[in-house]
Amino acid sequence: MRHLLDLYDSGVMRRALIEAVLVGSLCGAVGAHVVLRRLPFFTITVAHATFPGIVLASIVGLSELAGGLAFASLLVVAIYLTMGDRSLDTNTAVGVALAGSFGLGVMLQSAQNGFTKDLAAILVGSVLTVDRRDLLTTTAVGLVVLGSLAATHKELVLRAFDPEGAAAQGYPRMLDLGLLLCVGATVVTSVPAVGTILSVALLSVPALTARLVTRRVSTAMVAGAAYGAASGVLGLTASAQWDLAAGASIALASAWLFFVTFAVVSATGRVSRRHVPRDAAPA
Amino acid sequence: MLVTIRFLTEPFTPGYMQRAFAIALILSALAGVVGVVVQLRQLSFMTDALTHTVFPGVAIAFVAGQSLFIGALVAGTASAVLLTIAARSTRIDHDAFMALVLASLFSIGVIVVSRNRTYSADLTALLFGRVLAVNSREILETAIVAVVVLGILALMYKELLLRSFDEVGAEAMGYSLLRIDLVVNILVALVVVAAVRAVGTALVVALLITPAATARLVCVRLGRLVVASVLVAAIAAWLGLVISYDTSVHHGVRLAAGATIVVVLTAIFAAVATLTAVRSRRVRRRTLAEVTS
Amino acid sequence: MTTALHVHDLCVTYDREIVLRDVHALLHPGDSVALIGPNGAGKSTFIKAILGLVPASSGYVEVLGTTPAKARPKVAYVPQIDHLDTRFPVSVQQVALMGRYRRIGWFRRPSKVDKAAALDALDEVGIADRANDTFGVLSGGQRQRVLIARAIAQEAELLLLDEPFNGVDSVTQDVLIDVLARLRAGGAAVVMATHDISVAHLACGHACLLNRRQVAFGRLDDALTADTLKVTYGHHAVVLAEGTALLSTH
Repeated sequence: MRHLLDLYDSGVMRRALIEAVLVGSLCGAVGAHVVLRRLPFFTITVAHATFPGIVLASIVGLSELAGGLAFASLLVVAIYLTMGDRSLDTNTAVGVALAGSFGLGVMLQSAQNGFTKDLAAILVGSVLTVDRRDLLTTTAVGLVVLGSLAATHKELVLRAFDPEGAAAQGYPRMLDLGLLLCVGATVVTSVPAVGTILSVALLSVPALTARLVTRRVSTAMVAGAAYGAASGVLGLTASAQWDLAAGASIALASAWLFFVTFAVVSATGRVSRRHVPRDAAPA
Repeated sequence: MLVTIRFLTEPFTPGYMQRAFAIALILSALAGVVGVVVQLRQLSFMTDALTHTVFPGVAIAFVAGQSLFIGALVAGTASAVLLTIAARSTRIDHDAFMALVLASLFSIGVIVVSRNRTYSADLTALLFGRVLAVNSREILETAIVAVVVLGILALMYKELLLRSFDEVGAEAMGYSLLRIDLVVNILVALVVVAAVRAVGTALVVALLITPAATARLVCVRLGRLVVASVLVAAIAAWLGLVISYDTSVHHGVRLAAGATIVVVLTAIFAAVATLTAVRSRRVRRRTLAEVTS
Repeated sequence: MTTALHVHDLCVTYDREIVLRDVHALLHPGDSVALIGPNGAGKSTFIKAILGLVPASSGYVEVLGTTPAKARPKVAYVPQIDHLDTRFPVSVQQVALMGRYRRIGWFRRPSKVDKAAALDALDEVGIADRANDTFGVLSGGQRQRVLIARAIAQEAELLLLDEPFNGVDSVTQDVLIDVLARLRAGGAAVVMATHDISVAHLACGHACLLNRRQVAFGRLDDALTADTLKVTYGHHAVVLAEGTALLSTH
C-alpha cells in the first residue's frame, strides 16, 4: 500500500491525480444525461470537433481550451439547428461533422511544419502535463456545468421522459441547446486528461455503470461522479505503476469498473430490468 | 485553360502519386457503395465505432512487426461481432454499451503503441495513414478486399434492402436480423481494414459517411444514389490529392493528403446541403405564393 | 386438413407483468378474424406472438401445423403504414417483390417469374401503374395497398394485418375488402387488428375481443355483442343495435 502512495510523491503526479478525479467526477455526473438522452455518438462528435479548434488555437497562439470550446459550441449550435430542419437527418449531419472535423484538424496540423503541440497528446490526452491553471479551469467549468444542470434538473428530466409533454407545457427547445452545450463544455474540459477520442469513455461508461445500481437521474449523477472519480484514480495509478498511457488506462479502468459492477449486481440478482428499451415492449 | 488542365494532371506524373491515386479510387468506389448501406441502415455510429475498434489490431500487428493488414482483418472481424451483439443488447442501453466497447478496444490499442519509444509518430501514422507511401502490394490487398466486399453486397442485395426498409417485416418473413446485421457490420469493418494503409483508421469514417450523405441530398433512386456516392468520393479523392500536391510542391505548405481528401469531401457536402436548402426554401415560397394568389 | 392458427390458453408476460392472457383461437384456411380492442389491449402483442417474435410464457401457438418460427415464410405480416420510412429509396415494385424474397432464396436474383408475380399483385390492388414510383411519394392508402400486394406476392397461407384500415381512403378500403375476400376464397386465413367495428363486419367472419385478456372469440355475430363490447371497452362504448357501437377513444 505504501508503495502505491509513493507514486504520488511528486507534484506532477499529485496534479494529475487531482485532474483525473475532477474530470472523472464531472464527466460521470454529466454522463447521466448523456446516457439518458442517448448522446454518446453526439459526445464523440463534439470531441472530434474540438480537435481542429485546439490545433488552430495552438497555431495562432491562443488558449487551447478557448479554441476547443469555440469549435465545440459552433458544432453544437449547427447540430441544434439541423434538428429542426426536416430535410436533413440529424444523425447524418452529426456523422458528416464528426468525419469532417477530424480531417480538418489533421490537415491544419500537417500544414504547420514543426508543429507546436504533440498530436498524440490531443488525441489520447496527457494528464501528466496539466498545470495549476488547467486544474482551476476544470473546477470553474465543472461548477458552471453542474450548477446549470442542477438548476434545470426537473425540466431536463421531464424533457427526457416526455418531449411532447414538455413542449406542451411551453418549455422552449432552448433547453436542449443548453444541455448540449453543457455536454460540449465537459468534453472540452476532459480533453487534456483523456484526449478527444477517449472523452466519450468517461462521459458514458461511469454513467452506464451508475444505472446498474440506481434508478433515479439525480442519484445516477452522484453515483456516476463516484465511478468517474474512481476510474481516474484507478487508471492513473495503474498507468504510473506499469508505465502505460494514462488516458487509455483511465478509459480502461472505467470499463473494468463497469464489468465488475455488472458481475456483482448480476450475481446478487439485483440487475433491474428497466434497461429494456421501451420500444422493445409489446404494445 | 491549359494551366487548369496541367494543374489537375501534372500531380500524377510521379509514381507515388499514381499509386496514391489508384488506391484512393479503389477506396472511393468501395466506401461509396458501402456508404449507401451505412446511410440506409443509419449506421454512422457503428461505423465510427468500427474505425476505432480496428485500431488495436493494427497497433498489435505494428508492435509485433506483423502485417498491419492481417492485424486489422482479425480485429475488424472480431470487433464487428462484438459490436453487433452490443448494438442488439436489450438489458443495457446499447448506445452507451457501444461507446464502452469502442473506448476499451481503442484504449488497448493506445496502450500497446505507447510501449514503443516512437509512440507519438507511430500513433499518428496508424491513425491517419500514409497515402503517398503505399506500394503495389498494398494496392493489390485493397483491391482484393474491394472485390470481396462488393461481391458479397451484390449477392445479399435484396435481403439488405428488405432489412433496411422494414425491420419487423423482414423478421416476420423468417430472416435472422442478427445474421444480416453481422454481415453488414463485417463488410463495414472490411472497408476500414482496406483503408488502413492509405487513410488510416480515423479518416476512413469520412469516406463511409460523407459521400453517401451527399448523394442522399440530391438522389431518391437507389441506383443513382450509389453512382452519385461513388462519384462524389472519387472527385474528392482526386481534388484532395491535387490540392495537397500543388500546395506542397508549388507553395511550400504541406497538407496531409488523406486529411485534405476528407476536407474536400466535407466541403462538397456543405455546398450541396446549402444549395438544396436554398432551393427547397425557394420552392416552398413559390408554392405558398401560388396558393395564396 | 391442417388448421391455419391454433392458440391454446396463451399468456404473454413482459417484465413479470401480464400483458395478455386467456387467449384461445382456432382458424381454418379461408377464415378471417378481427382482433378488436382499445389501444394497449394486446392486439399487436397477439400478432407478434403468432409470428413468434414474443414468447408465450404459458400455453401454445400453432401456426399452419407447426411452430410460429418455422411457419414464418408462409405467413405474411402487413405493418402499419406509418411505421415505414417514406424517405427510403425503394420503388413500389421493389416493395412488392420483397414478398418473393424467401421463395427466391439467399444470394439469388429475382427471376422474370418473380417480377411478373410482383406486378400481378400490384395489379390486383389496382396500383400497377405506379410500379416504378418511389414508395414514399404515394398516399397513405396507396402505400397500404402496396404492402397488401407484397403479401399477395408472398402467396402466404396466413395474413397478419396491423390496423390496415387506419387512415386510408375509401377507394383503398373497398380494394382491401375485395382483395381479402379473394385471398380467403383461395384458402388463406386472415388475422386483422382493428378498432373499426364496421370494417370488422365487412371483412371478417370471426371476432376476437381483447382487453389484456380475451373477452370473447367466435363467429362474429356470436362474439361481437353488446355485452362483450361493454366488457372490452368499459364505459367508453355506446352500443347501438345489432352489434355496432360508437367508441370514444378516451
